[in-house]
Amino acid sequence: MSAAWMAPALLVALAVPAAAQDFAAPWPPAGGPAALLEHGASGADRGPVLELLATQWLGQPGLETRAAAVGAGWRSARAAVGLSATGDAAIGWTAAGLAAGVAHAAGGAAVRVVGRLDRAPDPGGRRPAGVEAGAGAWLAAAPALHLYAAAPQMWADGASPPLARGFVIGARAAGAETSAWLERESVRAPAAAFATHAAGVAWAPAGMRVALEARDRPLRGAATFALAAGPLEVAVRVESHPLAGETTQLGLRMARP
Amino acid sequence: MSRGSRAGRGRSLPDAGSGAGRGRSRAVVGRHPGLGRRAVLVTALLLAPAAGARGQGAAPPPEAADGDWEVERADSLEGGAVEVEVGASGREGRATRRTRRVRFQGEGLAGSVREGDGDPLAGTLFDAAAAGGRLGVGTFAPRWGAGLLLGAPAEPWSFAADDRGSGALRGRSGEGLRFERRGALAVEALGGRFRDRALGGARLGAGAGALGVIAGAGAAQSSLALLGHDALVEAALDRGGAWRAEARLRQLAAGGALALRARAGHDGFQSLAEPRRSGPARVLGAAFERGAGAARVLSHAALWRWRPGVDGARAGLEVRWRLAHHDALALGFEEQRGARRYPASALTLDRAGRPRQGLWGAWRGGAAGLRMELVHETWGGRFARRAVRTVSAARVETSPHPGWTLAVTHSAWRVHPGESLHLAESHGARLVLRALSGRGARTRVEAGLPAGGGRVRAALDLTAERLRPRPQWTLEWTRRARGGGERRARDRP
Repeated sequence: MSAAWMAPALLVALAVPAAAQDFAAPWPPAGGPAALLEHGASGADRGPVLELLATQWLGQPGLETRAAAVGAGWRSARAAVGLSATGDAAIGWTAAGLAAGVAHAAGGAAVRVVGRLDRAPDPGGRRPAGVEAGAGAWLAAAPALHLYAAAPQMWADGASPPLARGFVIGARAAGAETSAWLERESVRAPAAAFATHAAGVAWAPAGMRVALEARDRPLRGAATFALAAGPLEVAVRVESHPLAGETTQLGLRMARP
Repeated sequence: MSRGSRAGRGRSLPDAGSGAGRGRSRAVVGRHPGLGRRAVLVTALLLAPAAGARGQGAAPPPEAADGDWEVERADSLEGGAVEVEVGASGREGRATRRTRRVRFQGEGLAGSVREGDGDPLAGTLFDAAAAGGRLGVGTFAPRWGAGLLLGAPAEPWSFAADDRGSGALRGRSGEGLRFERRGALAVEALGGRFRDRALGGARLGAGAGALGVIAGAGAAQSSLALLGHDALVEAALDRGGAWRAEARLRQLAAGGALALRARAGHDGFQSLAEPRRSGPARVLGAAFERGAGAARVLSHAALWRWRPGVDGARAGLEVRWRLAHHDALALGFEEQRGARRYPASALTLDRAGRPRQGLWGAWRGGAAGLRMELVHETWGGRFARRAVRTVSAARVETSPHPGWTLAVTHSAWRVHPGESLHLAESHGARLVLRALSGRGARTRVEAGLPAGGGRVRAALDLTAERLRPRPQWTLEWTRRARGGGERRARDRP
């Protein structure tokens, strides 16, 4: 199944704000190499970070994504590279991502490029390939309030990406241990007829993190649980769907302090 | 439904350094504070160079053709300066368009020549001191009084046209000769073509009064205007006996500035020079603006009637906050009903008759190294829940090196069939209202840097109504220099 072929299934089930695909991570897109690759979200952390990710979409065997992303920073510069594989040899594709940007305490911006290559050739014997590019940015509007925007598919060429991702604007308020966010994704043809919205809250005492999210069209929810020990953090996120099965995401993050 | 017939207002944030909305002691009449049409265009101006998006949704004037609309900014050169601009632009499937412009401002003589392949702003303008006044040759867009004969606002609820008279934009209502002399006895005479009609006119002003006449090809119109410090009355009459009269008043009230406007007259009265700007026969309008600490409240309401049974109304409220570090936030609401333009068909009238509400918000913040603006606007029935037009936009601007600028603006929209949308974009000295429809997204990447003693500006636009974007590029080089006359004057002991 090519990326384009798989698109309808993903569109039905994953028409979510800030929909992620090749580098979907269980953590909120507030930093880390996967977020940089997927949303153009540059974080404040400079240290080298490795993220290993696995997603099973809709509970469907064979509809799985496995990805690895590495990120690092120097002064205010941030960069990340990643590899991802979705589906099996017959119906899957491989993706490579590159992102670069800047980040400091009051804001950040980044650009991202992801290229995809189907594993199975088309009837002409060629393996369809496609590329997409976009950007994201955030700013601290107040000490505890960040506003952000992301347009992950400003430009696309070649084989269509599995998801048509829209323009996202959002706000995130964070306290010492709690945070909340609200975001809106504009409609992106031909993905959906309406804009979609998401809201979430998170509680992060020392060593752990719990987050609950709600999304509309159709209304559904997700829960994230993460545990950290030293440089390691493990997270799992489960999202329900009223029309399809559950999507489960696993993530392992290793960061050098 | 004709394009643009119900496009909404543009939204903007207050610009800390622009001074927009200030210095209005003489403004009532000629230039009302930032509401109505003025707000639309000020919005576009504030937005386009600094942010955009904001863009969101200004509308071309009624005489504009379908599609994109371009207008020139009325910026001025300092004395003795010469400016040269060379540019090129292109898009997929079209030949490259080259443009050139030369402007100069000397002692007693100023001029501008712009030419280019299919450039809608191509034209010539020379202005020289003559007979105690100024004689201009080329395009012009004057405003007489309230605009009943010349220089009317483009929208029924507006108080003034920013592309007429001394507004922020240099519009074009006619092309020919124009002489103006100010003083105790003010004189203005003009002659030329107004669209497809040859017209001549003259206006005499003394004290608070001014009498003007425009005539051509068996038709004539006259107007008498009385201009006070805070009030204006104008009455116009044509040869057939059709008339219109408009009165405007500005007062301080309730701690703010209140402006009122009333118009009455025959339904069939049409300006000879600018028939499509004639507007409705009857209008009642009010605008109120008040500052309260860091907040500024702007409200407006207007009722109008094109002819019996065809009317319209709108009322809105916007609050703008100036935040720390030049950050700003604006939130607004507006209700519209009825026809904003003279309805061309029963279908148009039916659509226009449905009430709708608009909600918008805009935020701008950041420091010099990285600035960001977010805008969201939605229009529709049931308090915008049945959205027929939605626009979101973000702009990020940075300066990686002194004199260098890099900006990315991304807009996404959804517009129902029969609706229209125009995004305001700054292209150097010109403002472009980009006509968009359906669903889509547009990305604009702009870069500017000094080069060759001037400044190079490059822009790449990607418009994607499906996934594959249509690229369009622009490249301009501008250099402004002082002329020898100015140097000599400066070097004099």
